[in-house]
Amino acid sequence: MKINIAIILLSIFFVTKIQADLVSLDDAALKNVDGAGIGIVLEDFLYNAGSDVGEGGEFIIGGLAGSQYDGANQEAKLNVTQFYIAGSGSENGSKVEGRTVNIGRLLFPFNIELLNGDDFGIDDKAVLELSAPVKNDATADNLPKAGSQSYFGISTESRTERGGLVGSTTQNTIGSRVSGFRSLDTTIFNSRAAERPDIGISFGVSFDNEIPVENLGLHLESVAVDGSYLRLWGDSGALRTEFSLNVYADNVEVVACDGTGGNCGDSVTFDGFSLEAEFGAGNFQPVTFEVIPGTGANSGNFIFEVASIAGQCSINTSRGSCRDNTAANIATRNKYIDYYENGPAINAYIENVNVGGSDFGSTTISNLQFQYLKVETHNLQ
Amino acid sequence: MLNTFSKILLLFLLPVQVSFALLVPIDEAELSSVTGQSIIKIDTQGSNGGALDGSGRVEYTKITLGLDIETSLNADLLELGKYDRSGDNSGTGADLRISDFALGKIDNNGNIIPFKIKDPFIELAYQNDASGKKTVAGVRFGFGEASGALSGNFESLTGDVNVDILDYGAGLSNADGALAQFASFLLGSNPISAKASLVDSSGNANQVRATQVGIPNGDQFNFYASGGNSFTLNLATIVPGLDCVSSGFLVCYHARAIANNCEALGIDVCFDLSSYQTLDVGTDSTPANGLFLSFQTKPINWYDKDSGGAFQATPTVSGAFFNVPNGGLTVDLTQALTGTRRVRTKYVDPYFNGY
Repeated sequence: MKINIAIILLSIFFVTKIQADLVSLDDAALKNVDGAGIGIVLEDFLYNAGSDVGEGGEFIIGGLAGSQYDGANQEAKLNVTQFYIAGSGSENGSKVEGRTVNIGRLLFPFNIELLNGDDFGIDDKAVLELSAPVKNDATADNLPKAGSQSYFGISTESRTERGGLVGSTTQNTIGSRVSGFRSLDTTIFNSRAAERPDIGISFGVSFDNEIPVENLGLHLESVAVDGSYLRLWGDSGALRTEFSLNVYADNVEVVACDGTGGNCGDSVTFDGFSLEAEFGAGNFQPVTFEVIPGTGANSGNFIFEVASIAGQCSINTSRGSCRDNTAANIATRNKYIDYYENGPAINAYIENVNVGGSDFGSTTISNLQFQYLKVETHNLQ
Repeated sequence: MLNTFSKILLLFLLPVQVSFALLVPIDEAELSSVTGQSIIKIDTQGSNGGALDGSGRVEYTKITLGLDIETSLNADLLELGKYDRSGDNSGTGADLRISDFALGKIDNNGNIIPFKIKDPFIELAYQNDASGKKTVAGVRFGFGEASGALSGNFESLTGDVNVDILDYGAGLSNADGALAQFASFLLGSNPISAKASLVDSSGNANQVRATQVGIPNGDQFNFYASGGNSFTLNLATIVPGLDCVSSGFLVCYHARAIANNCEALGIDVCFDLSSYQTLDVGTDSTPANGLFLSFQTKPINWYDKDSGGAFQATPTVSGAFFNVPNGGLTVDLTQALTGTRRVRTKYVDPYFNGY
């Protein structure tokens, strides 16, 4: 049995809500542990917080701009009445007491690791990775595997559209694209029922310190985030990242009630919600976070940027494409081809959207790639 | 060699040695320069203080994010509202289906020209019943402002796409038909305007799973006199189907041709949506206001403020709904009659033969 390091289990106790229990590893489990980094597992976890004005506790997000009925600008406040992470069956947060959940498991923990950047297109750099449990490989022995299995089984179609104008006889469109999702592979989840929490938040909306005019709730049922990761490294004096956010939930529901939290009618629900979103591709397309310094008009603005992929191949200036007339040009052109075929992408599928009791079928976003994305905040008044 | 665990321990230990910093109070002068950003805005509208909906019982809560977004993106497929509607074959239709969807473009020098978005928002509409119960009647995702190239194969579209056709009479030379050619000859320098929207194959306005865009039945091509060409415009009214509606002695200032059954002046005025491979939404100087995507359980109005600050309603139908606002898209006659060519959206682009 070759184990470099035993996994350190961090049991984090939140007030009296946590009942953690260390469970011994048997040999069969231990042999699959190739120790590296720190694994985190929270057993029997339950978090339930909210405002309890009677006891002097309030959870308020204030300082928001707002208005009522096209009136004058007012300060809007969100009075968080409940935020919870609980076991399944919480029924939108109404039944959280005693419903604990395991966050990760010993074979599939949340991880903090130092990795070799060469493996991710980040040459000669150590990469700090924070990651959720890796996905199962359903084709083998249901043990954690490297690589990224996808929840989505895709179907494809050949492009038949003309690249030119109507009536053009030139057929210059090539290749194939995703035409839809034909199957969903639930076996990739390590987070089985006991490891898929219900997560939700409810808050009242009020203006200028008045009583809430309405209550909104967002509830995710049976959530898994397997395969998600955040990688951090430094380059040219700046922090760079790439990350993947996977969210799978049996149901995502938005509920609206009156200011007292009562009179809740039909809601908006997204049944069978699944999202696999990758941002950044090593140093080819790093993701950066920045706050504009100084005292200028934009100072303090927060910027999230997925770097532009422009400028990394020699351009044929008659058409804007990558040149391919030399071996060096072909090599850089091939980097783009690989990026478009295998680079970071966003896939999302909702089995059914239900608004106010009416079904509106499935929603699909397939193979969405940001060649460039810059998001800068500004003040709303 | 340090193994990974040791490196991590060092990582955690090193900062400890430099972390014995005292907390120092910030004085008033420093504090006065600290301001938080309000990047979230919450607005409510509806029955409680001035009904916007005819029923008087629809309320709206809109959450706006103070963001300036620039992007260039490509997607294989964007499909919303795939369910069976009455009249469609089972399992075949979607309210919105766009393949090879893209925002932004790449110019001939390889520069990315991004699609720009300002202040995106999410809005809920509630239907309140007599007892005060709130039922969500709709949700929409929209942009305060948007501009840039929007590309894709529009296979099915439910919504409102308003296209302004602005050109000169000479543009009619691109149309088939002797009448159009004759009109083009006479009206070469006369400004033309028309509005196109989603229609069915007979020219009837159709907002549900449309596959064609055109000038709806009863709408008109407008021909205007500019400079000294009011005489030629008057002369052109000898063309069957072209009527003068504002005239003087031997002159005409405004003539029109009424569209009927997808024809006007003998030319086709309805076209496959897929012919329009790239649409220019707004401009840098005049971004489009009111671009949104929504779901609603019934036909309800969504409201946006115009440039004068007045609320303008956008009526919708039940299901998924994609709205391109008035003034959001402008094409010339050549583009209207022959389509718009897809711009480059990738550095190795399948629509440019893989180059």
